[in-house]
Amino acid sequence: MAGVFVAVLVLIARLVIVQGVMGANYEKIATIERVGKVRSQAPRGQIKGSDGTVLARNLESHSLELLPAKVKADRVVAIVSRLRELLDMTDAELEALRGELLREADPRKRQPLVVRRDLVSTHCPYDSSQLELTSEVEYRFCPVCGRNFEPVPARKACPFDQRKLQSIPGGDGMRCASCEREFSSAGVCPYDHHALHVGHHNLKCPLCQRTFNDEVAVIRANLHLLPEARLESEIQREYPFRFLASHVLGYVGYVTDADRAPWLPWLPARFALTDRVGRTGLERAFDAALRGLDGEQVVVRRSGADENAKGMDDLVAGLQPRPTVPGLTLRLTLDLELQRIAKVAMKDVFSGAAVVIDARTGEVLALYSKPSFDPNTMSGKRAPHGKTATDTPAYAPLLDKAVHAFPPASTFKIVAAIAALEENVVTPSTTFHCPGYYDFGGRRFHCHSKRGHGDVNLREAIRSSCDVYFYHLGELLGLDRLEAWARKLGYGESTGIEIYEAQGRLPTRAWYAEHVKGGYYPGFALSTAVGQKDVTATPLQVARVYSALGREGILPNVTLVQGFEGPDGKLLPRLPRPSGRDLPVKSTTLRFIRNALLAVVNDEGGTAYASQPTNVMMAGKTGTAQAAQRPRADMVERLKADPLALGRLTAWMQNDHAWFVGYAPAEDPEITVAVFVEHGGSGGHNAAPIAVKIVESWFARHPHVKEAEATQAKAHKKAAVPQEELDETPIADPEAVPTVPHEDDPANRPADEPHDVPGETGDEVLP
Amino acid sequence: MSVFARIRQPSTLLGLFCVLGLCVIAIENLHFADSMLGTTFHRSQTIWIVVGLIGTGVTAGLDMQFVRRVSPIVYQVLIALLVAVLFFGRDINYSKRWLELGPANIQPSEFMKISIALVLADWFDKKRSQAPWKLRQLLMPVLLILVPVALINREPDLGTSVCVALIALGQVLYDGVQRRTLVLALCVALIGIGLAWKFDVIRDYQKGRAETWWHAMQDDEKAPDTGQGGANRDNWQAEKALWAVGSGRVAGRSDDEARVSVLRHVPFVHTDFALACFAERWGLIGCIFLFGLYLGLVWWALYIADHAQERFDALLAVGVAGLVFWQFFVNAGMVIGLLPVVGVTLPLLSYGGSSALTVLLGAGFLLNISTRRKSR
Repeated sequence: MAGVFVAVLVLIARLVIVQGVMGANYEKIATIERVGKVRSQAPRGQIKGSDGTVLARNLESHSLELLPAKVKADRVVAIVSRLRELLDMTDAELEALRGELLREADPRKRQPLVVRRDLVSTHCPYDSSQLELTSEVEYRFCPVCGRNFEPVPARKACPFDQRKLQSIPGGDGMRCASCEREFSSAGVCPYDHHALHVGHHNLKCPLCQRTFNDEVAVIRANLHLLPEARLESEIQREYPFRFLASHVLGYVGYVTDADRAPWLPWLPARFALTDRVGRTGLERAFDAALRGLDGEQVVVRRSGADENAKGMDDLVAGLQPRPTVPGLTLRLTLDLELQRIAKVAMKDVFSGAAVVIDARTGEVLALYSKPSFDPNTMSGKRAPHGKTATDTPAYAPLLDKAVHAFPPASTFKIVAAIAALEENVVTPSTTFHCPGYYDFGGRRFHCHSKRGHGDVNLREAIRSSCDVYFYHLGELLGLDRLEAWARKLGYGESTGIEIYEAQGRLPTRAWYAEHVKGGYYPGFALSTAVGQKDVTATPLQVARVYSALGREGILPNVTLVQGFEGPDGKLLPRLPRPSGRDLPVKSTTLRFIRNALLAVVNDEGGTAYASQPTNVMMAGKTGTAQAAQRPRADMVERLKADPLALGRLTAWMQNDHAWFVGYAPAEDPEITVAVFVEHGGSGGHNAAPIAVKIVESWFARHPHVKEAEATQAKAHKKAAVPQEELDETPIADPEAVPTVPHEDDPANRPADEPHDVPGETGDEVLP
Repeated sequence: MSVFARIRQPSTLLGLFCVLGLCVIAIENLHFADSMLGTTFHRSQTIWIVVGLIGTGVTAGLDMQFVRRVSPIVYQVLIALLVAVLFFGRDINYSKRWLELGPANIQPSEFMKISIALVLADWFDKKRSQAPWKLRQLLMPVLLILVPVALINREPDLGTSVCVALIALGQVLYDGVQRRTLVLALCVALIGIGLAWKFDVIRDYQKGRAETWWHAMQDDEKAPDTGQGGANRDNWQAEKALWAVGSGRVAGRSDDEARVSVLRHVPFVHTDFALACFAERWGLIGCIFLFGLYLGLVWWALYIADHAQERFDALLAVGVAGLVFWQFFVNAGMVIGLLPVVGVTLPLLSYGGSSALTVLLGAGFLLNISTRRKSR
């Protein structure tokens, strides 16, 4: 009985709390019939170049969806014909749609059917510039092949690039070879001779001069004819420069169940179903900061009688919604102009990468990997050309080759050189004889020069990239000492860049014992000394190491990011970055190496002698890695139907990798360029010219004060300077050299320009 | 002493007052809920209560020896009905608890509550000399309890099965068991609950309710979000009920106010959450009065148990006390946010013929014992 009493007392005590103490509060809450929380997604932060040009932003995108649950079988034909009238859809698309609508399935379980994504409305699907209204332009559309034909212009010249049009063989139509526009005024398609559908465009892109129909307006005006359809809009991530910096920016993707799983079991899910997360590149690295914080709006429905109750508004006001915090805007160090130059310079290359970093700070000025891809299509946007990254799988477009490890070839020779000098294995004047080969351990190691270089000292060996000299060094140093020195110089370690990067591999004897069948063999040290065999490094790593060589041995920390922008567009203060580390190398050694690198570009007999920038002195090193491979089995399988493409691929893969890494100005480097051309041929012929173009363009915009002196020095040095004198050449103290004030540097310009000015517009539009 | 003279004893009068008071409150409360939601539950409930009061009179006059003879048969019939309900039961709210018999829906599990009390009292009385009980000796009563508990849980109806178990447990403890037995049984029960949790005998929604309650008891913010429109559904039920109870405050609200308040959105306001309706309208004062009625009823039953001359009578009275008390405690605790949401009805106040009939039959047994005891 006592227990019963106690229990009832507990109940009453609770009642006193609920009704007596908390009653007033509950009464208030109870007057609100329902409190709902609505998530409001925070806009993802923009990514901007160093001059404030927007590289990634958000755009509203519209799509037309059909709700299969509402579609009755007898309406399918009417729907399809209506869609044919409203949108330019090919017969194949319509047929697929019809099939999908007629498919038997549980109507409750069917997802909305997307008829078309990214309907054209306000922005050009090619370059994302704002479309302008224009007088109606008639166009023709082939319902079979899906081609759009603009009316044939008066002068038979392309309205965009003014090039002369070519007539399409076998049909009545014209075509622009450079921008792939097609023109026809006839009633049938010049390709398949099917009757064309005639429509009118009323929007024009001021940049690429294409005309478009306002598809959203058309659909919206006719939606009452399609009660089964709905117009959906969502915020899309948009990369206006498309192919230009895709590997740096990365792309976003919808969350998966794995993303949604909380970090700890009792935490709520991290993402909503409609969220997107950064998948690669900076979008991934800075995902949390770019995403911002989703807000919560409180939706209150009041119950009838208390509609006008006193204190109601106070109560509603008391229910604080959580404000949406937009994602932070990221300002990059990328110089878009330079990035563009790097892209153009690599246009004849199938695959490769070019990296430009500021030798003083490690800031990445350009990072381009070829072939590139369009992050818009990767982020779920319709490709206006129908061309996607997966069209050229052989060249691995999604792989960022600037941070992917490849055999560094002769660019690695400086490791052996520095190691040998520091360990006093050789002196600069030590000579070895190069007959064109070196016999070691029952194997013949060839020099790249079949005839041999004769008697060479270290400087000449670096200049002409004599392999035999470095075979000797490799033999004298041994693999493990090479590895230790490579590590000291900054190989095999992270460069500090924010995006994912490979670390490269520096094999040791232990590594060979563990990973290679047959274990270690002393010849491996020889191959490693010339950067062949199993040693790998990324172009970015190589650029960083050479920056250190050029700048008194200070290894900079590589970064892509200047910082976050505050709401006023000013940069927020950044956490202090670790300053670069000092190389444990004597300054005399460094001076010697710098001199040798200068000779590579500027001395007759240097491997890059043919590639000298006109406006600045450059020092650097070429590399040619033997990398003949056979196409992978899956690639062979994929290209089985196209023997020509397979042959092209096989031939391409027989070539060597070409490297060039250099810094300029040679005496006080501002920038370091690393160019890697996968299966590109030789470093001197195929990689160095690309670097020269990049360097020239940089110093054309940032004139070097010592330009005149440099030219003089060049003339002076070409008249064969004696070795001793070169060794004594004083290296300018970096502190003493006045830095060029960059008033004209776009990075210093206030970011007040309209941000929706797209410049470069992808491969196709490039004149 | 005539029967009426015995009824005039203060304890019996108090008990009858409590029962009749609860009946009146129940019909009034249901009438209000009906007027609010436009339903007609109070009519059928009135019929059930009238039938139940007649049943009270009948059981009060029954010969206890006859009851003891019949009770095992009733128990077996009810077990059969519980099995039948699993196959032919009517599905209401995703649970098969009701058998359709002509115009009425019968809930055998409710009758099982009084039946288990009868059967156990009978069993213990027959083995009279052996208390305190050892675990080994308790095998038979445990079986008697477990079979209906398992069947009821199968429906699924966790609340009722727990109630049946608690009623029986109260009886066993009243009769006395060895301390060792008690500790052992507790351990077994704890392990059993653990295993049931682990192997999904306890269903997910039940776990969810328990977890929500646990979180709500600690800190409102930590309640797990199941993603269904923000609030957890179970928590949402309990929250709405709590708001309604709280808005009653000390003195209660007028009918007009209550009719348009959050009460409209309290789920199961006729049955499981009937107390929320009452509490909002009558406030703290009314609730204390109501709790007093239940307390009085339980006190009456325990008083009878203490003063009974026969062991069977005492045990039966304890069973009835448990029947009223456990349901009242679990239900009230649930409505005012002390316990997780479990589908247990409030005796008499909640709509439900079988439930009301069971309680009133129990009251009849109490009356029977109290009016009879002096004659022997």
